[in-house]
Amino acid sequence: MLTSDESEQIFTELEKILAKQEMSWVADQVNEQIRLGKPVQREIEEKEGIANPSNRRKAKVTYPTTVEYLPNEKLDLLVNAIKAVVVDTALMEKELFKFFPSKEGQPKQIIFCEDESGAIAHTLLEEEGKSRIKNAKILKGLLDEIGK
Amino acid sequence: MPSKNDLLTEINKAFGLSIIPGLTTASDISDIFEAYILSLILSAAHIEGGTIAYFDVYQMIPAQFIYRTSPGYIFSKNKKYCYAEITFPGKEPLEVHNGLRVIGKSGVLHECDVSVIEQSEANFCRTHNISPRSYKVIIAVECKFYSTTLQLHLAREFLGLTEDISVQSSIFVSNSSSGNLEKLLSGRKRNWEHMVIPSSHKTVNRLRSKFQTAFQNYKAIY
Repeated sequence: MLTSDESEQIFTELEKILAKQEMSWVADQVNEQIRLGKPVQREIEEKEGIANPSNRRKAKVTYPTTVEYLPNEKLDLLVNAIKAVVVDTALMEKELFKFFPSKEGQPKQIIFCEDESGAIAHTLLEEEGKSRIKNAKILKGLLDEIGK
Repeated sequence: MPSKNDLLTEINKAFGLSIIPGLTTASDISDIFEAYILSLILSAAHIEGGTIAYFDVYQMIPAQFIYRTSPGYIFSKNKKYCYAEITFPGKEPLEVHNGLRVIGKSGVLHECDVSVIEQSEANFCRTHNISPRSYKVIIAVECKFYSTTLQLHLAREFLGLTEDISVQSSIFVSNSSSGNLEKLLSGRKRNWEHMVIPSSHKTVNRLRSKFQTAFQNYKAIY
């Protein structure tokens, strides 16, 4: 189990890795969730029958509220966010090529274009995707390890 | 056992090799998610006995699939944008598009991330340079890819959208989840699916099954 200091230190290092790959938006989404707090349900005893003391009893009422995330929970959020944007999308990319066509003898590719300008935003190639999946699985294993 | 510093060095290395260069913004990642959802619709159609073919806006068979990244028009010819055609025996063909604008009840144009439209409507719109009417849309999917818990405003936006479109089956789909969002959508009787990622077979199958039901109803009615 990581100490709070270790969790905070690893969190900062992962933020730096994201920034280096121009993916700071992932850390931004995580930091926004941290700012909003962890949703929890709190049970509070509420006195009823105040007007009639002979009928007075206590009832438990549940209120939704938030508490601050602990350092290890913050790290979990960031690790899971990285897995979502890197590992899950690599697997999605693999699924795409099962359905999208290509002409015989040509490499399978999907081209993403902006509608207004017609500019090519990015291209996915099936061959490149295969090595990406391999590396994404390695990354997942490392992320599982670092959070322990 | 490797030290934490060694692990971070390895993560840094594996990270760079796992991402698509130039495809790193939130919007880029959302494009892949939308395309993935589109592929699930096609797999549902295939299971339901549909035949799938691919065309570009010129009705030619494309050499590669060109996918729209920003909301656009069905008649747009800025690029050879592609769509999938689904044919069920004895039924009017359907078309599967992404990022299309459709006309709501109020006459306002709304964006559908992924949509299944009657082909006669699609052809009519391409001929007259107009957008499809929402009541001619069989399935509309609102796709949300987030690296964290979904915020409630996304559900409110979806509720607003579904108030103005008459799509037969509108579904809010995300790779993530949120108890409050799901509570709100369920309370307002809206269709949703969360945690739709390839490794989660249960949710993927459940979503695919919803698409299958929409196709089953289409086959029964038309």
